[in-house]
Amino acid sequence: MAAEDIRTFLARIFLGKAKVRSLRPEERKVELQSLTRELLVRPLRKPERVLGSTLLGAGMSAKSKGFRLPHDAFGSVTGSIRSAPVTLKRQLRVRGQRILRFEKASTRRVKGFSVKSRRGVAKVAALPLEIGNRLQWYAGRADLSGAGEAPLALYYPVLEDGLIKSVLNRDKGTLIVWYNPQKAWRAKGLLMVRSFSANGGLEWRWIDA
Amino acid sequence: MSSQYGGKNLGYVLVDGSDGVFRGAVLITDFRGIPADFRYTDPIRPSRLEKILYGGALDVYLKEELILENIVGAVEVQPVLWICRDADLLESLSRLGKGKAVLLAPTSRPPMDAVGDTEKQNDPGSYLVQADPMSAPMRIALPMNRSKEEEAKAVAAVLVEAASTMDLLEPFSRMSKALAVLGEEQSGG
Repeated sequence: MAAEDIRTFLARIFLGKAKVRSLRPEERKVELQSLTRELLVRPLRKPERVLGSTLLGAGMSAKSKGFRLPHDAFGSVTGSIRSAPVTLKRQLRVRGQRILRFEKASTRRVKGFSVKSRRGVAKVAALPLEIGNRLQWYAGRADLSGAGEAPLALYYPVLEDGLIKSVLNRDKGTLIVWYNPQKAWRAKGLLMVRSFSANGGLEWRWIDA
Repeated sequence: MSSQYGGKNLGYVLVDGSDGVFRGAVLITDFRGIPADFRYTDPIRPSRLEKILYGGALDVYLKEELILENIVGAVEVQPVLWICRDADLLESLSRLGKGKAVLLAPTSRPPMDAVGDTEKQNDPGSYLVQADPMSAPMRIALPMNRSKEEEAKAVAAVLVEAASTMDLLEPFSRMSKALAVLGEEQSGG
């Protein structure tokens, strides 16, 4: 009896204070995480761009509406439509609404650019001609100079009889020449030779090429 | 002046669009390189906005239509051969020039056996031509509608005749200098 009383007493004290936790595995939420990687595919090529015909102006604007033209919309249709013009009735209406709007398309050229050609023959005629060294291409260069000499450059073609003035461009190795057009007719080669003799220096010789 | 050379002329065409400035020039010379006519255009400077708006079409329009058409149409002395060094201009030049047109470029190949020799290249309409005895062969390219071997021979004959009295590529450098001088004059004025 006493034991029953003690049990009742203790039950009153601890009633509701003991928390019961469930350890049933089926109620646990298992979070599954995949180890597979997600692949992101990025193309290496440039995105394709379509450049329109930029010389045709705003007259080429186009709109697309999702409807089908009624079968009587066409004013005239040739048997097989290839390059034949197709005309539409100007007053074409769908559900009472005019659906066609006619605007005169205009092709435009690039505006704002104009060019004028100017005559300048006098300016270019005052410029000298620049003649290059052809020695490396001359097959007979071994015979161009005698003993104690070395050919340095061969300028070709030089109009011998019309030559007014010539200047050697040492930086580029070219010969700059001014001609008298009234007299310049005969083309020859102008050879520059280095002489190794005591009084030697640079020599210029005309040769028939 | 050019009676000894049968009044024959070469027409050199240069259209430049570098540094965003477009300009062009035509130099007609006789077979000695002496100028017979020279036409040039004022520089065209498209704005940044115009370049964005018109894109790649602007370059083609300015070079091949506006400038080339204008200067080729302006010359008073018709050449027997039009010469350019820009492949993009060749077809338009052939159409506008109403005559033979050729692209001319230097090579570093060894000389061919004889003056006047031609050698077909892999590129269609492209040939090597030995124009004179003292230079490397030159590469010529013909327009698509005139790329047959007979046309190449005819063009080579003209080049060989002219190369006996002038440097065939020299007029291009003279034109560049002339345009540079004119540009300086215009910017200075």
